[in-house]
Amino acid sequence: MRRIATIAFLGLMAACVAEEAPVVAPEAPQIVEPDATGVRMDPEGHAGLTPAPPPADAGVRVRRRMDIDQLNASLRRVSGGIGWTEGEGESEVDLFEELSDTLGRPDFIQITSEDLTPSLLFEKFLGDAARSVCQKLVARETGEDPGDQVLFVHVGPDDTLDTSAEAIDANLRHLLLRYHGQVVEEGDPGLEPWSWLFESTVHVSGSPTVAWQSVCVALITHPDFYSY
Amino acid sequence: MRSVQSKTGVLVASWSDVLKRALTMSLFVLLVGVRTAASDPAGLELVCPDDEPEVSLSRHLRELSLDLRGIVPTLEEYEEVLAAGEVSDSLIDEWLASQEFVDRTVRRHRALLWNNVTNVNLFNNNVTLNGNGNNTTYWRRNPAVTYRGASVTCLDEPAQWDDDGRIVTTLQDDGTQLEGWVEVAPYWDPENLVRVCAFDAQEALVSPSGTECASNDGASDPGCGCGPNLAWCRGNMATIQPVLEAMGRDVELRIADILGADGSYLDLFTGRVAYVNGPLAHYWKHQVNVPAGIRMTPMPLPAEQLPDLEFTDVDTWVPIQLGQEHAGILTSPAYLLRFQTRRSRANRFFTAFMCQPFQPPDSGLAASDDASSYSLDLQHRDGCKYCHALLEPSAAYWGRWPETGAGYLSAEEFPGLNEDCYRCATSSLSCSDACRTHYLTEALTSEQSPYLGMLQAFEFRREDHVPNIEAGPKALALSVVVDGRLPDCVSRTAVSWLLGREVLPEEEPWIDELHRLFVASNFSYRSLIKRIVESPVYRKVQ
Repeated sequence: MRRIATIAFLGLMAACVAEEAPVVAPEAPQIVEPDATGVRMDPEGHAGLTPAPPPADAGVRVRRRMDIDQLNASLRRVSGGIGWTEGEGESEVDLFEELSDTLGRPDFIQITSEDLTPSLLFEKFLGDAARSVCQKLVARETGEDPGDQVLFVHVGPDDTLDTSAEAIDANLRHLLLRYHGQVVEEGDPGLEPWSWLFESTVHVSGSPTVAWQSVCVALITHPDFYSY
Repeated sequence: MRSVQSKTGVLVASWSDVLKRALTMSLFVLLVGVRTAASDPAGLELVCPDDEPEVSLSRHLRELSLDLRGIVPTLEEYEEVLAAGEVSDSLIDEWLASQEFVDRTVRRHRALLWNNVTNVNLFNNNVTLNGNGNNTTYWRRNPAVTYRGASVTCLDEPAQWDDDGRIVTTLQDDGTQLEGWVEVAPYWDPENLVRVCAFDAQEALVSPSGTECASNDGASDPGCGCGPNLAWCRGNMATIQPVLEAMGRDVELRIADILGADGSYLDLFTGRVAYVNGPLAHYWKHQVNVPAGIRMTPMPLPAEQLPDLEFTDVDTWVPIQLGQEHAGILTSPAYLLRFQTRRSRANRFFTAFMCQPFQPPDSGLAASDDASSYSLDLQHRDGCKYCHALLEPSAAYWGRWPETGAGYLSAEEFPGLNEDCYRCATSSLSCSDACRTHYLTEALTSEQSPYLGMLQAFEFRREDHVPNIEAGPKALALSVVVDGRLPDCVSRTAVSWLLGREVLPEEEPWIDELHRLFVASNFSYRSLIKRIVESPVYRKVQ
C-alpha cells in the first residue's frame, strides 16, 4: 500500500511539474544561483544594507572640509558679517585665527600639512562658533538696528507654523540656499527635517526666535555647510 | 477540485491537493525570488540610494567659489547662476582674475614652499637688550663686562658727561664702574622714549679705536653702543618678528605679483624682483652684520636700492630689482633660511615642483659593502647613493648660496679655487674667516684632499656637475621645464589640490593633456586651474 502511494505520489508530482511547465521557465534555476548572492536570504533573514562601495575616488572629486580661512570667511558671509570673535573694539579677537593651529592650519615649521579632517575637536569648536555667531545674529536682527536681514528674511521673529507656515517654509528654503547652496523646491521632502527642527524647538522653548537660532546653529554645524 | 470515489482515491486526491498547493507556493516564492534577483541583483531596493555624484548647479557654484575665492557665493550670485542655468565662462574668468583667487593660490603655494622663518635666530646675543626700557633700563649683558667690569646694569639715574664728552662713571663697592641712563627713541617705536644705559646707547658708527660698531666686533669695544635709535640692537620679540614675517611675506608678494598678472609660472623661478618693507629695509641696512649663526653676507641684494623706510612702515612694500644670479623664490631669503642646506633646498624643489621626492624604494636598499660604508662621498656610499647620486649634483645648483644663510658668493669675489685658502689648508698658516666659512680647509680623509682650497660646493663634484654651481637654481628649474617634469608636476599638484586626492592611474592621459595645455598657454596658472574646474570630474563629488 505504501509502495503504491509512493508511486502515485511521484507520478502526481511529475504530473504537476508537467502541468506547470509552461509557467516555470526552465532556465529559472540558472538565473537564481549566480545572481542571488547579492541578496543574503539566510535563515536569520539578514541582508546587506550597504551597497558595494564604488571604486575609491574613481573619476570624482573628494568631498573636503573647508579650511579655516574658508570657514571663517564663509561664516561671516552667511551671517551678514558676524564672525566668531571675543571681546570688542581693539581687544576683539578672531577665535578662528586664535585657534587656527588647533583647527588644522599648519605653521610650516612644526606642522607642514593641513589637517582637514572633521575631527571631534573641529566639531566641538564649530559648534562653539555656530552658537556664538547665531546668538549674535538673532540678537542683531531682533534688536533696534537690524540692518540688512539675512536670517529673518521671509518671516518675523514671532511667526510660527500655525500662523505663517508658508513664510517659514520660504525662509527655510532661503537659508538652505544661503548656507548650503541647496535649492529646495516648495513641498520638497528635504525641507521636512528643518521644519521639524523649527517646530519642535518652538514646542520645547515656546519661542520662534530660539527656534531660528537653533536652525542657524544646525545649518552651520551640518556637513553641507563646512564641507564641499 | 477533482471528485474522489475510494478511500485511497480520497487519500491520493488529498495529497495531490496539498502538494499542488505547496508547489504553487514554492513556485510563487521562486518566481518572486527570481524577479527580485533579476531586477535588483545587489539588493539595492533595501538600502538608501547613493547621492548623485554630479552635484547640482548651485552646489557646483559653491565649490567653485570656495576653491577659487575661499568663500561661499552671495545669494545674488546663486540667483544669477540659477536663472542663467549655468556657471558662465565669464564668471569663472572673473573669479580667476580676482584678488581672492590670488590669495588662494598664494595660500596654496605656502604649502609648497613652507615660507615661515619666524623661528630663525638672526641676531647675535651681544646685541640683545635686556630690560624693558621703562621701569627697568635697557642694557646689554655681554658687553657690560667691557663697559662696567661686570655683567651688571647701570645706575638708575640720568647719565652725565665730562668736559671731554666722556660718559661719567661712579666706582661701586664691588669695583664696577657704573654710568647712568639716557632716553632714546628706539627704531621700533620712535614715539615712545625708553631708558637705555648710556654706554649701550652710544651712537658712534665707528669707535675711537676704529672698530665698525655695527658688527660683532663692536660688542667688545667700549666705544661702541647700539647706534642711532638703537639701530643694530634688538629688543623683545616684537622687534624681531616683523623682520622674519616680512621675509616670508616677500615670497608671497612675488607669487601674487606674477599670478595676479597671469604671468608665466616660470617667473616664480626666474624672476628678479623682491619686495622690501620697513622692517626688512632696516634689517638689511643696519643689522645684517650682527648675525648669530645665520649669515646674510655677502648681501644678496643691491644695498643702494633699499628704500628709505622706517622700521614701523610694516605695510609699505617697495619692489627692488635683483641681480642676474637670482632665481625667483628659490633664492629668496625665506627659501634659503627655511631650507638651510643645499641638499634641503634641492629636496624641497624636487618634492614640490618635480613631484619626485627622494625616498628609498619599497623593496629597501641593498646591503652595504665595507669599502663604500666609509666613503664621505654620499654619491658612492651604499644606502645613501640611491638618493644622493641625484641629490648631490642637484644641490650644487645652490653652491653659491651659502648654507645657514642667505648671502651670495659671486664668482669674482669667491673663485672656485681660492689660492689663499688652499695655502692655509695645506700649511700651518691660519685661515681667514672667509676661507673657514666658505671653502674646504680641512680634509678628514684622503678622499677630500683634492678639494682643499675649493668652494665647499665643489667637494666631490664630478666634472660634468661643476657647471651646476655656476648656473644656479634657475638652470635647474629651466632644465625640468624642458624635460617636462615641472609642468607635469604643477598640473598634477593643481589637480590634487582641487580634487582633494592623488591622481589616479587612469587619469594620467588627462594630466598629459593638462601639461600640454599649460605649456601652450605660456605657463598660465590661471588657465590650468580653469581647465581643471571645467572638467566633468571636478563636478562629481564623492
